[in-house]
Amino acid sequence: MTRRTRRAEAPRLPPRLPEKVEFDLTLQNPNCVFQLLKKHYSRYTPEMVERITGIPKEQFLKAADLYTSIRKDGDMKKAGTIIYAVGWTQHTFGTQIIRTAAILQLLLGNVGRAGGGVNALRGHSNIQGATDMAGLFDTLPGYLKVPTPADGSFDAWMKRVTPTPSKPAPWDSFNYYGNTPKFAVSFLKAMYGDAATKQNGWAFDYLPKVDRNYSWVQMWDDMYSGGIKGMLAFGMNGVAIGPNSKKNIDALKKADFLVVGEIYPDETSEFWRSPGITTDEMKQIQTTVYRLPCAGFAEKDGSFTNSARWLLWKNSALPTPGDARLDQAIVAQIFLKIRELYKKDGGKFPDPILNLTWNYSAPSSPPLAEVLKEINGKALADLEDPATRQQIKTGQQLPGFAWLKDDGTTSCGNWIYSGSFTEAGNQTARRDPSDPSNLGIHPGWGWSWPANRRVLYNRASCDADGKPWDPTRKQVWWNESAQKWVGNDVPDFKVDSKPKDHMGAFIMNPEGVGRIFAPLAAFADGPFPEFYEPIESPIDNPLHPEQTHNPVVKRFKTPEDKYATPKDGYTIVCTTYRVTEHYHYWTKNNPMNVQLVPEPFVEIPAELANDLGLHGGEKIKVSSIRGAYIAKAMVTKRIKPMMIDGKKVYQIGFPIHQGYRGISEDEGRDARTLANLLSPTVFDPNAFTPEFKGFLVKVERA
Amino acid sequence: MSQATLRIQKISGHAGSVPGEDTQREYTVCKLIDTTTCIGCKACEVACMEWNDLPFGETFFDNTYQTMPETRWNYWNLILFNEHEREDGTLMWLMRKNQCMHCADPGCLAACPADGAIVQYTNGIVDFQQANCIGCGYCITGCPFDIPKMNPKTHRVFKCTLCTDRVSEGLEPACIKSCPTGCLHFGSKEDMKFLAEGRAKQLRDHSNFPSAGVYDPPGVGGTGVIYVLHDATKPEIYGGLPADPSIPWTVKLWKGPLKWLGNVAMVGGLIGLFVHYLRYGPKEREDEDISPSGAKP
Repeated sequence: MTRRTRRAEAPRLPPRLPEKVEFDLTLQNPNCVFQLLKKHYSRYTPEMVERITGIPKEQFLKAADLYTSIRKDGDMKKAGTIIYAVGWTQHTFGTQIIRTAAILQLLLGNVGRAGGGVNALRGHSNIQGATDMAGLFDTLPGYLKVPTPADGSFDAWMKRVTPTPSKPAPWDSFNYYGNTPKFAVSFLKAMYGDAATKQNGWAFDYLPKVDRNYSWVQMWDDMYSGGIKGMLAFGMNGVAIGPNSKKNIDALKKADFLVVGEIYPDETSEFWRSPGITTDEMKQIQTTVYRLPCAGFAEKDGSFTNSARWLLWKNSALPTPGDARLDQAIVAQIFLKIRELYKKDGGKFPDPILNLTWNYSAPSSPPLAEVLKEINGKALADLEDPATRQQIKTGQQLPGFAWLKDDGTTSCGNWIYSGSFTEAGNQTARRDPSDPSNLGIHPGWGWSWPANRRVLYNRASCDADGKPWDPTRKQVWWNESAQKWVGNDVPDFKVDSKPKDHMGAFIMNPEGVGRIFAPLAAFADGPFPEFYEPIESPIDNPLHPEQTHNPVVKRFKTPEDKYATPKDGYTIVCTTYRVTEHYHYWTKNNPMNVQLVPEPFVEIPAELANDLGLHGGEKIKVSSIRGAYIAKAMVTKRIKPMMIDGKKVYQIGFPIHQGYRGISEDEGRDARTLANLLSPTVFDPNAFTPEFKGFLVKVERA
Repeated sequence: MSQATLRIQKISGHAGSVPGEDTQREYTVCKLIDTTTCIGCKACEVACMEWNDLPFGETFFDNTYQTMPETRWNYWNLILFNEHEREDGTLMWLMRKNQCMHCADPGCLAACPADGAIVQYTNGIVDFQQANCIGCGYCITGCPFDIPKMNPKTHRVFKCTLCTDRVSEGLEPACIKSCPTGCLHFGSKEDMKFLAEGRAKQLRDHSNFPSAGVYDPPGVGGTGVIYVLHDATKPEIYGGLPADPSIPWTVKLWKGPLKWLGNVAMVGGLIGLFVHYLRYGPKEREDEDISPSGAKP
């Protein structure tokens, strides 16, 4: 669907860490992580927090004291959790916010503990599943790093992406990602079956090589610039959900074709009806749009993976109406047609298409249970565990990823999901609510990756000797007589690693420890999180006014990518959000949701309304440098002006749900503008999430 | 619970005996609403519409998250959103689920002149029987909570039934079932009172709400719907919840000392009716749509 439009950017270098590292348990060495951390954050005084955020110093200290009080007098029994919604990620420094939370939790000993952790609340039921299954361009299933053109061969790729242990000499590091070749070979066997052999590098050449950033905002920019000629959009209202809607609508005008799979007519499939496009202009648009009727959530089966990594199987409640089809049926039928064409006409490189495994009982609509079985993986030869003498026969489902091999005798679509559909059946469909330990583990309810483990890094719930920090809430512990780790949860550790060997609890990091300090190129930005203002900000960054914004953020260059400053007259901070009454862009087609929240609105502080002479219910026009949004004003005391760096700053906000298709919209009850006409085309340099949660606007009566 | 809980203990405008009047009462049901853990998601509003098959109505933006200004004859359950500024300058966004309170001493029932239009079951649920309703609207005047609403087309009055049809089958009301935060509870009045008092104490002792308490007003004999409030001394801040609701004195007077007057008037009315019948003959029955969903049976 895409063709290369620019020179390949150099692939990000992998962390190459020293084999041996110094350590200082007294934490006094000026170069130890703790001292570096103290030095780095010495600038973040309560006064500075007040200047940057507007939170009064006393309130900030009260909150900080409350949260850190769980470790008062060295009490290690309590656990504290940090729960966030995706708003934290929707900044050009979003990953740094999450990192900051992780550092705080590591310092407080809140990681690996029941009731601890950094927990994301998602906007969809299956965001976790989508990322696990490589919904993002830069990973393969199970977070294997994609190959780049520079990799050249399977071995070169593995050498680059397989980490080696890096630790103090007296300690052990499990470095579980050292098993990457087993995961990768099994994945390629699942993809290409017998066509993946040791001789051809497990069909490494079949895998697409990712030469640069293909994330959401970048994709639309590519289409705008003519690089992307067509798009398949399923369950994703592209022009409404992404930033700078006008740019995205203009991008679609330049595309050859657009395929939309949806259950309602949406803004993307009718981008040409966007307000502001005249009838004459519509006639000029040459894009062919195919709108395919899809299935709704109640008409599909399959699994959801929630934020706690539980895979939960669901059954379909209804058949699809009319000629509506399941997503997998549409994708499968497109694939089968393409394969047929390759078979008939050949092509530059037909092998990956012709050799893709497609062994489903109904090829034109693969049953999802069969897909999950394929993801779980199976034995391609008779296997035996040398330690336990347990045997698995050829063709049997694998019990888990510990069985994966790098010699082609196992296949597995996603190593972290191995164990979800075993010889014992579909583990994600289990519904045993019992919780014998009373820790909220519920081991028989669905199945969680990895290995049905409910809390990751749970070795950290014990002290150095392997005894639980809280003896009344035991997750895992070292059993001296059995010489292994046991527990109410599945130990997330090398089960026979004795506490005296000091293996690090963070087995996925080559260092074995939590990443307070992120080494080398682990992130696009620095080893410690630093505060930056959003790309559009009412003030200069009080920490370093000469570098207000995240220095590694990319700014786009098309005429539609404009970024404002307060000097341009944009002085009000704006944010966008959702309301509980609506689910994204499709419940505006459901009368019940429309009855609850019938129209778009803009929430503004009462003080700002006074300044404007505006009353609640009167129309307001919100303009950013990119576009305007018109809706009725909701005048509220809930949003108060903030004192930011000594300046009074107003903030406003509005929900994203409405647009130009829907019940109210079709009745002409509102201005039919999209919230994202206003938001800027910039994103976090690590996660590529756009900056929806802070940009500049001005307001006037409309 | 069984069908037995639907035995009637009070009947509006009824002169004869009441079937459940002297029965051994098993227990009174009660809905507990903890306003301090309500997030205003409106799941209960949707559940109420879904279960009771209420029709969609048009709504308009009115400078608030509240779905509509007040309950309607076909919208029985409404969360009221109120911004409240406290004395220390901090703001509270108070959300109160508003619906029929199912008073032990129901003002609507006392005011109703139509035989059997309003009944109270032995489990405490106050239920309107639209087939017997004469559309006089006295119940609307009699209610201290401004709950019953008249369908202007059919002149029948409707309100929350506490999902009588579910409760009589041993299920909780639909709103309770849908609540994602657990701020709604359902059970015996005794149990709910216990739970509510415990929560109020928790708020007083640990959450800096020294005036937290339970709303179960004695003026109407207590209610079948009770609230936990952050500040029980000021129920008015929760969208005008009356501090001391009671049956209006006009209704009390009419149903008490002056009841004989009504009986005289009724006899007079019957005589008038008889004379009218002799003179004009019987009235043809018109097909009337009295179901809340507007569906023809």
